[in-house]
Amino acid sequence: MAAPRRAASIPFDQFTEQTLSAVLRAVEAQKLPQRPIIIGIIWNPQGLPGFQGVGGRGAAGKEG
Amino acid sequence: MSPQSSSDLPLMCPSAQPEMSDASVFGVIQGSPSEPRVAYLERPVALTPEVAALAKPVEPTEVFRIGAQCAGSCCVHFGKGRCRLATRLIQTLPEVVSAAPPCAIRGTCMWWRQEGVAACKRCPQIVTRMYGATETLKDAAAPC
Repeated sequence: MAAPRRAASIPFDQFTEQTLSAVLRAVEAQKLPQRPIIIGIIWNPQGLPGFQGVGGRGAAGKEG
Repeated sequence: MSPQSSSDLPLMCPSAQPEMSDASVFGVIQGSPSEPRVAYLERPVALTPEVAALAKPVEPTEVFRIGAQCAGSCCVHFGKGRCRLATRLIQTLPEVVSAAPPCAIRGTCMWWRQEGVAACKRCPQIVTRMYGATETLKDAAAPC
């Protein structure tokens, strides 16, 4: 097993440049065959009132 | 006025949605399409419409890691005061870094507060809207 590495950090002044690189990566990732999944907040329709649900595309984790 | 400690602040979800009112970017996705890795910003950047527009033509959640206040029971992953997603992630995913990343939101991060450094060592492999996820990631991300 490969030794784990250190996570990268981005100086503030490189934010825009690194974002452009990330967009290009994401465009390539969209060519992968699987549908996207959401790993994070997924609004619960039965949650407390006051929070508005957020529309979003993509499957919520594993389907089926 | 006394300074506010991080323990006084609301806990933040480290994989939030851009439409949330207090959303800020704390990481940018790097790596390859099939093996993404988060690079962490020195300090969070407010997710303004202008910053969100930088992600076009893809979704901000494919480019950024976004933090925002934990939605609690308004999120399908929340139950019994805990983030079940964080629990599943540390139970099923491998560590991908050997030390906690230089993360600007750790002090208020729900995943860190709940799971400790185990969550931090798995965090860099998470893309909020992810293409090409492994079966393990799909299982971990699925609401239960």
